[in-house]
Amino acid sequence: MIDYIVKYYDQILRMLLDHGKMVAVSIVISFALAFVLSVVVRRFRNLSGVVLTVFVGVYCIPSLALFAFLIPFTGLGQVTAIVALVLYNQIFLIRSILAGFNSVPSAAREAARGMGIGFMNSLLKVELPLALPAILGGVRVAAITTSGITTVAALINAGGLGVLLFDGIRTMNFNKVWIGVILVCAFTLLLNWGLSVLEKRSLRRARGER
Amino acid sequence: MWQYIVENRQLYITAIWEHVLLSVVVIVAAVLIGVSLGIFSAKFPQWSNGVISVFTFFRLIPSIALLILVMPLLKTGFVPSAVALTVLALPAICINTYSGIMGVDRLAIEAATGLGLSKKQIFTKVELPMAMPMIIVGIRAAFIDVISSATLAALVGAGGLGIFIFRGMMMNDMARLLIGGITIALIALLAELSLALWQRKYSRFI
Amino acid sequence: MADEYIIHFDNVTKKYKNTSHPAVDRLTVGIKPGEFITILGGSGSGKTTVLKMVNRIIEPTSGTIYFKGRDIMTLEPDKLRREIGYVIQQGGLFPHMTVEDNIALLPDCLKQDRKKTRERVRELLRLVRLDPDVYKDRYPRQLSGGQQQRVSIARALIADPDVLLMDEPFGAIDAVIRAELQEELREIHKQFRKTILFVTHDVQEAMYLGTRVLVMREGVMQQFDTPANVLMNKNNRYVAEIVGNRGEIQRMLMLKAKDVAKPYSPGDHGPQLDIEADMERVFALFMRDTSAECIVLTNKSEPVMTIWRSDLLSAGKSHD
Repeated sequence: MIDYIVKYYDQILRMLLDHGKMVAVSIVISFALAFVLSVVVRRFRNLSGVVLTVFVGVYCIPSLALFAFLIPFTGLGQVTAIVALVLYNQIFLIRSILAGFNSVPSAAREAARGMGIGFMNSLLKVELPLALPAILGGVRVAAITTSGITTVAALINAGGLGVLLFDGIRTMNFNKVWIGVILVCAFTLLLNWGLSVLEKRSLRRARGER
Repeated sequence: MWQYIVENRQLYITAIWEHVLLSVVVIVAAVLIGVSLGIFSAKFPQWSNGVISVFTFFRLIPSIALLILVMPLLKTGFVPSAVALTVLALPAICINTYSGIMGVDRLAIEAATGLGLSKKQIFTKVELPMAMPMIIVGIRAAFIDVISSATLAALVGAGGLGIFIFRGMMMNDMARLLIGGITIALIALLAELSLALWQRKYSRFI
Repeated sequence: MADEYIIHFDNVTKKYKNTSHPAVDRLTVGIKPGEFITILGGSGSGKTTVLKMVNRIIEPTSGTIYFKGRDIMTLEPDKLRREIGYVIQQGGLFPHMTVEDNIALLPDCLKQDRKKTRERVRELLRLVRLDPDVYKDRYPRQLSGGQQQRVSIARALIADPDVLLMDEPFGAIDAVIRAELQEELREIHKQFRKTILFVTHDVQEAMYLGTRVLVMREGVMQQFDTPANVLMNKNNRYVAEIVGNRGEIQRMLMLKAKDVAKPYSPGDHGPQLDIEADMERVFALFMRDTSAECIVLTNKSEPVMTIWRSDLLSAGKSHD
């Protein structure tokens, strides 16, 4: 197995990078979209039920089906994968952004309002740091799920580590399969660890334990 | 599309049945094992660290990897997929059960003890009901994942609606694919909504 | 609308939808600069609503509120709030910021000179009896309830506002610390002559701190007068009840010595008490020192008034 890695390591590296790229890009776009949607939902409370149900529904659609549905519009490849991933992530991110902002102590929010520092200042300097731990928790869950679905995206020519898995199965090359599995797990573990560190740090800061 | 369903009714129904059976079996197993382990960890704190760490680790493994991992050991088919998916569902249920029980208001337990209830009664009448919302959240998340991942199980011989999707993809048959996808989505939605209702029933008082 | 008022409520009503009666019902009061107004009432009396309407946290349904002569609804809310200090019961300190950053948040947001701000923070911490070097880098969670409220007060004073709004700030503090904080607040008021609006449900606190007391009940103003007049009110049953159900004697004990004393004439000799002392201290002193015929009330060691033992029994009768 080791010689396989050595022999094809540039290809493996490329798949790893593709995988990472898809995860990173989708998380960034997902977050931006989720943030906007959260602000809208906060402003128009009655929309919250609709928005959340829609995205729960989206999440219920199996990944391959959603990919397949998008292919006529966005073709095969990474773009389709990213669009699908952004849609899948909304349910986690919107929920955790809303939960985060709800967890800001109301006394602090009212004090900030009474001080007259303004909406933006209040949002960025008071509410966001206090909401961050919950938000990052959601980002972490989204990232993990994204990584998993990205693996499946290999089936629609998006590249990524899933290629090793599916190719390996197809050609009965178990070396490939094992490498694929190990790399996927390692990647996810690393991602989880990194985001956990950020999450814990933001929690300490929110509690004033620095 | 409707025509397709009518024509292949038997195949369609079998596929639904396989898919649902797999999901239900997995969830039941995962609930039985997961909730027990969760309660165990909550009651025996020395083990909690180990159990929770293991499950937090397993939570990270993508479903596809799990399905593939069992192949060398159990070959392909219904049972291996069921095992893999159970491992997929366990972490969420176990961890949520643990958190749910640990998160029960200590004051409520103290009050119950003060009333003279036995440990078993406190558990069944106070702790468990109060932990239920959290537990149900875990089951909800796990169930959706299982139903979705059962799609992939078609790849490793477990049948189910995933077959429609794969065949549809390979043969460029949009109708087949959509039927598979939409049916799975509907099943998942149904499960999600019923569990949500169940959860609300429990959360009414909290 | 008189120019002499710094805050003026003109027929102000606040009614929420789906409620039977208004939270605040046609309130008209004028508050002069430098007054310490305690707003007294039970829960549901509207006292907190009144307070929160001054800085537009809550907006009136009808009527006008004037701040320094201007209708507050014509002012930009944030600008209004920067001129008014706001202290709430739970403190509302930001847990993720140090004491220093908490107090300095407003000036920092306004991009004011940091060095000057830091100096002012030290000044304010000293004012609220917290050693700046010890406390400025601490986090709220490291502070006791009383210390947190001190920081809240310092924070409210950072912009040197003319008006301070306080919503039951000492409600969650234990009795010993509460007494300390009340004293210090009185000192601050004496020193800086700011206008303070202080909401409380504690009768004693309202009487002790306020120069005038606004008694509220179910949104309706019951009385707006000096503590002495409120305590002695026999006309309004509700007021008499909330101040008087503690007994005639206790009511009298809440009076201040200066309300009962007579002007000082040279030749009056006796033990001395500060002019702000309440009747309880006066009684205690007379009981301890049986030979004393009178007590001299002093302001900064200068004799101002005299209270005679024989005046004690007529304390309930006449007052200014």
